[in-house]
Amino acid sequence: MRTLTARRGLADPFPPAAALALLAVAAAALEASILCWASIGALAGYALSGSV
Amino acid sequence: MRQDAVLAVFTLGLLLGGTVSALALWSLSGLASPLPPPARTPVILAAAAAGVARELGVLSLPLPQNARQIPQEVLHVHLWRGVLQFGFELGTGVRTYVPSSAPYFLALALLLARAPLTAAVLTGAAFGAGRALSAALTYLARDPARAAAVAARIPHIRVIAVSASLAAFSLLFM
Repeated sequence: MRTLTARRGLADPFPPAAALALLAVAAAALEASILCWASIGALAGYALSGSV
Repeated sequence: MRQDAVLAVFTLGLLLGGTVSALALWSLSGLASPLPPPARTPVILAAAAAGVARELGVLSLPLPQNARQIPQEVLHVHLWRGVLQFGFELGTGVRTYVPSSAPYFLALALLLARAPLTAAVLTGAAFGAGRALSAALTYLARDPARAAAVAARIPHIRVIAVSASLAAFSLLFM
């Protein structure tokens, strides 16, 4: 049951986008520029979900 | 064939493709050096703002995407090489559809911001990793409804992606 719930959680595409967005903004606020760039890169790639 | 092995090779291709594109943009960024930073920053942020407006449907802006899909034949000749090539081509972001504003804004930022080489390499690899994350979640979730969930949520995800990029670069550059 717990496994099924975890898998359902993985099926929602929204949380990773929210987490990456928060990471990008937090990294910028902390002047961690390389982490900020990488987070924005990951976010741009993730924004193409479902597109091939 | 093991699906996790296919996913691993596909991910490797995505990471390589993203890195190569980012390196190409970083190499060309020297062309922007005559522009002083005070002139570059507003252009980057204006492009991000235009991307937000586009994703919200406020601004109609066609994207210069390569409106084609990678031919399935690449998977038929040699499977492992085909999976790697498929991932690589997707990772470059120039060989197939790119319907979100965020990658274009990112490319412009890499071209104009004169980021350090490390940042460019990691940004490109992270772009590939971001694309791979979606495939990995689809594999791990094993939920036939995920494709519909992605289709329903993707407009919001695109808004978040470019809005967060605008916010982050505003903080970083200003």
